[in-house]
Amino acid sequence: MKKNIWTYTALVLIGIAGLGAINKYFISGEHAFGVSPEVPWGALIASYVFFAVAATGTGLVASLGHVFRIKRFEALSKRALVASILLLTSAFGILAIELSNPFKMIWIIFTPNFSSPIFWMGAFYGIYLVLLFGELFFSIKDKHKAAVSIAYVSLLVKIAALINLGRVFGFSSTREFWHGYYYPGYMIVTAIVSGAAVLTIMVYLISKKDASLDYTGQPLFTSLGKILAGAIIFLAGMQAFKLGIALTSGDTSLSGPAQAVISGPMAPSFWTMEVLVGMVIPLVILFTSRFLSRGKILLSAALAMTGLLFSRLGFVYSGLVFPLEIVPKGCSFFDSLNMYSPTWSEWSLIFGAIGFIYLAFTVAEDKLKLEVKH
Amino acid sequence: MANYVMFIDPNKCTGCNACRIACQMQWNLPPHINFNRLDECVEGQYPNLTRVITPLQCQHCDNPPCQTVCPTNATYKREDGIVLIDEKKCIGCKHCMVACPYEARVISESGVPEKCRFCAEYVVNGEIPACVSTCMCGVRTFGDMDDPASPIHAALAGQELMQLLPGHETAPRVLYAKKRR
Amino acid sequence: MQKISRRSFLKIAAGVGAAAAVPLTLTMDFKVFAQDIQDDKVTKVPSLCNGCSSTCGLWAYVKNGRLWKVEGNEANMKSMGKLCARGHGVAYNVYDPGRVTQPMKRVGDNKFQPISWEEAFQEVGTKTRQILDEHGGDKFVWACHGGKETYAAKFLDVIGSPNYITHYATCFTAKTNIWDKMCGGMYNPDFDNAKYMIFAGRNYAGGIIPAAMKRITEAKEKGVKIIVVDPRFCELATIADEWIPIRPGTDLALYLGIAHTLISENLYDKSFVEQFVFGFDFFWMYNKDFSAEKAAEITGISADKIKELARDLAANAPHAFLEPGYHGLHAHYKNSNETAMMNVIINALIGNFWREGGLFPAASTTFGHPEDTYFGPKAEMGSRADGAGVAGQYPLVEAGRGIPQRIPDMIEKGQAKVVFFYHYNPLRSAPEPEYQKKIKNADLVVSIPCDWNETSVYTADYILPENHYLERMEHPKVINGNIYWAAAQVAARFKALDATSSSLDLLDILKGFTTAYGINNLYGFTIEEDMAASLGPIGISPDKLKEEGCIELRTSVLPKIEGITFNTFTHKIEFCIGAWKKEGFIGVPTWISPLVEPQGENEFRLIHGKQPWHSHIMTTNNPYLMAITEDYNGTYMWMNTERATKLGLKEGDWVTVANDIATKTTQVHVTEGLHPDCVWVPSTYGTYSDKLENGYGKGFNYNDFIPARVDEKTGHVMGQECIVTISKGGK
Repeated sequence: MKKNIWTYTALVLIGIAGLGAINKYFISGEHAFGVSPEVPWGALIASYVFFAVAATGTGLVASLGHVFRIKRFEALSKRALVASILLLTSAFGILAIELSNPFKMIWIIFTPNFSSPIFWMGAFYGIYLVLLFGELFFSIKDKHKAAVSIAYVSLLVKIAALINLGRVFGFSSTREFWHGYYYPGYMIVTAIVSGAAVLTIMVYLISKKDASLDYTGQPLFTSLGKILAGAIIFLAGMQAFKLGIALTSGDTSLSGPAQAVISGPMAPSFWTMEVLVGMVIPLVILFTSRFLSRGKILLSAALAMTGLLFSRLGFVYSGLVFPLEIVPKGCSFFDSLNMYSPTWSEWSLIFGAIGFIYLAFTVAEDKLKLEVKH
Repeated sequence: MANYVMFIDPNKCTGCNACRIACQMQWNLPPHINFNRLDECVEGQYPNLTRVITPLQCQHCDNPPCQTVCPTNATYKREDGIVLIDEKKCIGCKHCMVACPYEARVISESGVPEKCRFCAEYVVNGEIPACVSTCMCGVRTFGDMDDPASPIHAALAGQELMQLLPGHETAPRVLYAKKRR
Repeated sequence: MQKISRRSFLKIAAGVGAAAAVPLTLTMDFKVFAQDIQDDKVTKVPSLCNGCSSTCGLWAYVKNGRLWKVEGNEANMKSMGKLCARGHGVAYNVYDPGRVTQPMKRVGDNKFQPISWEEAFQEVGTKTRQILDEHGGDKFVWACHGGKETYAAKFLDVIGSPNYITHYATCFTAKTNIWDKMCGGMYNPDFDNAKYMIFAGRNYAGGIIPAAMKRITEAKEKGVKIIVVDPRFCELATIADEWIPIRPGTDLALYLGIAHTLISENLYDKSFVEQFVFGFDFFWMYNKDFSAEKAAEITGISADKIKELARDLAANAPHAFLEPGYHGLHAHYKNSNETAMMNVIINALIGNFWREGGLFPAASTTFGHPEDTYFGPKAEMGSRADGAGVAGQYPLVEAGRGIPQRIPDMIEKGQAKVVFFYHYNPLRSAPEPEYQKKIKNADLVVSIPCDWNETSVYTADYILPENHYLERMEHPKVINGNIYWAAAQVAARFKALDATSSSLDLLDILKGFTTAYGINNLYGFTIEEDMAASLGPIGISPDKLKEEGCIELRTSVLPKIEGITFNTFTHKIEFCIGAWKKEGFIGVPTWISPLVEPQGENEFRLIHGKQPWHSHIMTTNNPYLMAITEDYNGTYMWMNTERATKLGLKEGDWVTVANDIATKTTQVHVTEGLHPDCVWVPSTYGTYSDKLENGYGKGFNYNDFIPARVDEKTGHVMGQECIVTISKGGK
């Protein structure tokens, strides 16, 4: 395997993430992260969602090849499975460090709580991971029929997992801004954005060495670019709708968080990263290049992923930013919003995961037979 | 089986914080982990002011949202009404903290979202919770509704009661007197 | 912010302990301890809280030789089973990392060398001897908080020093001085039977006596009317029927206005005045023109309101009182003495002394004492170095209280050469710390503290640490005073915990010191013998006291109509103080303006008060109590909204506070609950001993801004005669 500057960067990122994890488990405990009783979930939950949804999205978009028999996507199938596996393991890895006692997860089997969305999250994503390995195994062994059967089941599991992930946030009426059916939908749309983006990046990385992609490469890029653009436009519309509804609701527990997003502590990140970097610039690039330039599609995908990461951070924080009105009051109680900003330990784990995915993917590309046979 | 409730009369509270630290001592908590806290509301303009301090803590809901979301059933409800957490099952996902509308939970040193326990191990022996026994203004009363001799009956008599956030349908076991100021 | 966990808190304590090679109790493993606490048997030991001077009774719960928790003693009339936050917190000071763990000798600025107790006694004893032999025994000063009992008096008696000085001049000395002169002692309110209570200069919910708050809230439940007069919407105002914000420093005018209304409208209790008051006419002669209208101009309270207060007092009399007040007014203003006098006068005018729902003296008792064991020579008693009670100096100041803020002055003038500080920290609790630092110029300074307080760090040549209160057994105390209780109670501190460090009890420190000084057998008794001898005459055994924690004696103070007499020259309440006339004063109170007034938009009077979870300066290193401070922005300085708006300030803004003595920065709490003329700070913060890490550098203290003044009549510091300039910014 050829080592380059990115290999070493990835190693350094993983190393720093290791320090972040050590800080959490052996030094600072919960104080390693910026979370508090008011904002119990932070960047790690957000990045868990980021990677888990990206994993599902990658599978969803790639399954266009298997399930919907779109020919040009078949070149991606095994690689997409690998990417999904890596994204999902990263998501689980981050969650394990966010959880104070991940080993007690065993109790999810002994004393499950079927009313808990997190129980179902564990169940769906656990099954999904098993299915991913199964599908990859049969694909590598060229047991096409078995792989396709699994892919059908997997598609259902993926959608269930996404909807349930939205439910984790939308379940409780306590957090008004999350409450309801918006976030299950949001998960599916963002899954498509991230799936298209991840596959674009992946195709770019491997197109240089896999000759087979020369044949399918350009149309594949164009297709992915179009899916990406479509999904971004849909997402932008949804988000605008959500914020608009919240702002005009007349209910402070909805308008308060929305205000915090567009003009409060989250505004800089929202406007520059989520909107400009994650939506406007990619769309402008895609449309002006008419979905023809590989480099520009790659750039758009990278920007969309970056924007999406901040969208995740914003979405988690927005549900918790507005203080709960516990005691009915006439006096002003929302002088101060609940403040949260990620610590270095949290950032280290996010970047470490990205480093891990890059490194593991190049290793897998090197060791496993992932090319499509003609 | 007992049927425990707590009555809190915010009209009497002057904000001394004895309840907070008495509880910390009772449960060997470090300085920055506290199971109860005070919410302050000052209204009016100089010189006509009212100040109401409402002690807040786990409400020991009969329909506890924290229990509903707990993936491993680490959070459970005893038959006597007390909501507890089984530390050995808690994975630390903090969904209970997100789901609790009363912000009752704090992360313990072992990463478990802990909260007021209604002094569960002590009240079964007839003791009263530390926050109640130390309160000089008699803001808090604890008792067993099924025990006719319990002081809770006298405390509740004639009070106009309310629960916090009834809209969430959590059915709290902590009952508050209505604000009289 | 690095948050202290219980575990690391213990680790710090263990680190400090290990350095001084202490017993194993501090270095135990927390997890083992946590397990033990579940399994081990609990022992309950009675003690008396040391969180303030109220001496609430408590039970210390000890598990595995370590403190678990404290609970109020039901039988004690101060606690009635309740404790405040500081009571719980101060108990845990036993594990305070800021404790001095063994005797220390100064070897440089802020540098100390640990020494053994033998060395400490030898060096301190011989040095004291040398200095006093050369300059005389009356150059020795014992400065302390002024609890009801220390053993120092025996030593002072032998060496001929009258210089037992307490902190009261910085606290409430005007009150005790004047009540003693006017009615022969202190009188305390009967919350249970009053129908109308006015509180001014005392915030029972801030400077807490738990039983008082229990009884006040119970009274409130019954429908008793509670009025709070305070420039600040204090914690007690929270539950009051009415908060009357008064211009700070003008309570005297309010009282004069009330008295004027009572007399001019014929509402006062003429029969009581005739029988029990001396000097009424003289008082009225001087004040008959001081109407409610005049009082209204000065106080900012409407004349109607002042008249209403007077009429309501009269209507409910004698089941009504103007609470006698505490620190809130009695060391604060040039007119504090007259304010205290007016408090007596208003209560006398409504005739509530010895009446149900009125005021009563404290029930008391007398202890025995161990037989003398020292029969050697005694030096002739010298004169007081601080001039308290001395003709030509401060003749009206009570000698028993003293003038602590003069200690640096006494040292400079050569009147004090050796100064012992016993749990007293004037460098933080007395005015102008930079001035107080001159204490180090004394020939010998010895501090007997628990923690590394400022006085020890900056001035002491030797630090002789005393045990934490839960680690010591003490001479018993009479529990009485401040609030009416029909019977005296007896209680004591019993040893609940073994010493966690090599600190000692005061009795053992004094035995070692006096022996090295060359006085043999001055304290020829053990603490157990002292306890038995003290309790003997009242028929209580130490074992019984230990079993019950607090024992109530027979009822001795009940309402009465017949046989009322006051312990004054005329056996009446004297509206005119004879001793004052002798010194050339009028003798009756008349209106006196505050010494200084704020002018202009940037100037404020700096006032202060107690926060409910801190006990002035002595709790600022407690991690639990400081955690409350952090959670509720406890170090913020209060400012009225309107004034703050004019200065462009909002909640949490940094400001610079300055006068010609000091400049400090702090954050502001913008509130409707404060008189516009003043800013208010808790009396707690501004720790500047860097060995007290939890409190160090947090907030500032009002003492930073006031000069070490001495009131000519009662010797207090006039702690709120202080104007500061406030400007935005600073951090």
